[in-house]
Amino acid sequence: MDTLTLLYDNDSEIIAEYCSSNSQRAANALVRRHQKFVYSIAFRFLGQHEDAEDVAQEAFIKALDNLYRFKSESNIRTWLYTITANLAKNHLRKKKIINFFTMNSEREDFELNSNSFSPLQELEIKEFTENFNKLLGKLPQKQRETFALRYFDGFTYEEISDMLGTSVGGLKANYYQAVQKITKEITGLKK
Amino acid sequence: MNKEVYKKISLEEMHDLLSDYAFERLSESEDKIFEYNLQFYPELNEEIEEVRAIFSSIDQMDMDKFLSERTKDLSVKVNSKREKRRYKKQIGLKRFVLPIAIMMLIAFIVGEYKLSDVVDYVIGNKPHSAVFTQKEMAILISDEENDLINFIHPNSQTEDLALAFDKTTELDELAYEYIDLEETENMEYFDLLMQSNSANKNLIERTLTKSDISENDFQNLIKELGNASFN
Repeated sequence: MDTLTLLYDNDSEIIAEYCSSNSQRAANALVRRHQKFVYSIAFRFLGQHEDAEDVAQEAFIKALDNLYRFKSESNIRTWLYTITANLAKNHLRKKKIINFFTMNSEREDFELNSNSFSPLQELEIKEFTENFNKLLGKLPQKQRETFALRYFDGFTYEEISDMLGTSVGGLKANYYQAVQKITKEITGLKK
Repeated sequence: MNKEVYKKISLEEMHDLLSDYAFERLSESEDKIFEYNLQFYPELNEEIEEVRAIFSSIDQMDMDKFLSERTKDLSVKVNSKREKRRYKKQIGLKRFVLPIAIMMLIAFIVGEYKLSDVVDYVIGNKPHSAVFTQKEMAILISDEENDLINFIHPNSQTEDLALAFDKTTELDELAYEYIDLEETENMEYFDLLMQSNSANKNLIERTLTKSDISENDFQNLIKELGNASFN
């Protein structure tokens, strides 16, 4: 967490400052606090860095423009999830139409540049990340989202239920099925 | 608490808890329930080990690092995009709203000027909106009568207006005399004359519109008719 986000104890403080003074500092803090989360949602839906980045930017612009409407008793991440998922779905729809007319095939793009791994490790991780993201993309949307929100973002089932509009029981089943599929697929890849 | 821990749960319920158990995300009570029930479903032990082994490599992916790299300047990009949009909005106002406002103002001023050109008059006690502008009236009334138009303004006296109205009617009758001729029994004759390529066409027209005709004009007319060729 960077120094800017450390200036605030929680989201409510950021929202209060932004709504009272339209503070640029608060806007930056909000983006930095949730950028990974928002980007990962967009990336899961779109599978491409450029598109995911565009949608993440749009999601934050929309969120900041409407932040005064946000009811602070609910979780801002749930709200951000709804905004991002809707934008990503719309983007995907537009892209499908464009691809249909231009006969373009969707490009998969998973690059990982890191200085902390050896070139061989980097390659292995890159390959694994590529395969994992492809695999994630193959899962039904509800299973993929449940898995990502629970496994990567650590949401409770109740919170995910608010985001996806599915019962807690249904989410638990989705989560188990997603984990099972990922395990089987990766086991198959390793053999 | 203990009673709950030693409660047997179904395989389906065990599946619901399995992933969270493998990733150590169960609450303390859920964890105890799951471990107690594992003895009834020993096949799940293998599945748990498999999940843990696979997901340890997923954890190695270092998703956080991956996302950090992808989003490192997202806040800067969001800011610049917002700034650009704000600027575009302002430019949009200057580009469209201002010109439209100016055009509307010009249209209003021109409209006002045009409206002021229309003549209003009063006959008796009733106000009337004139059909003609001052210029149109000037066309209808001959030059020497132009001064009468000045009477047909709102500030004119009632007597003057009445006089002007009478004069206008009289002049209208004179102006349509030429047209009346076309509609008379001489229509056919008139058409034949109009078709001729006569140099004296003006003379013929002048002659036809006048009730009295000089001997000289009459002779010229006869001559012209003799020279006329008809289709």
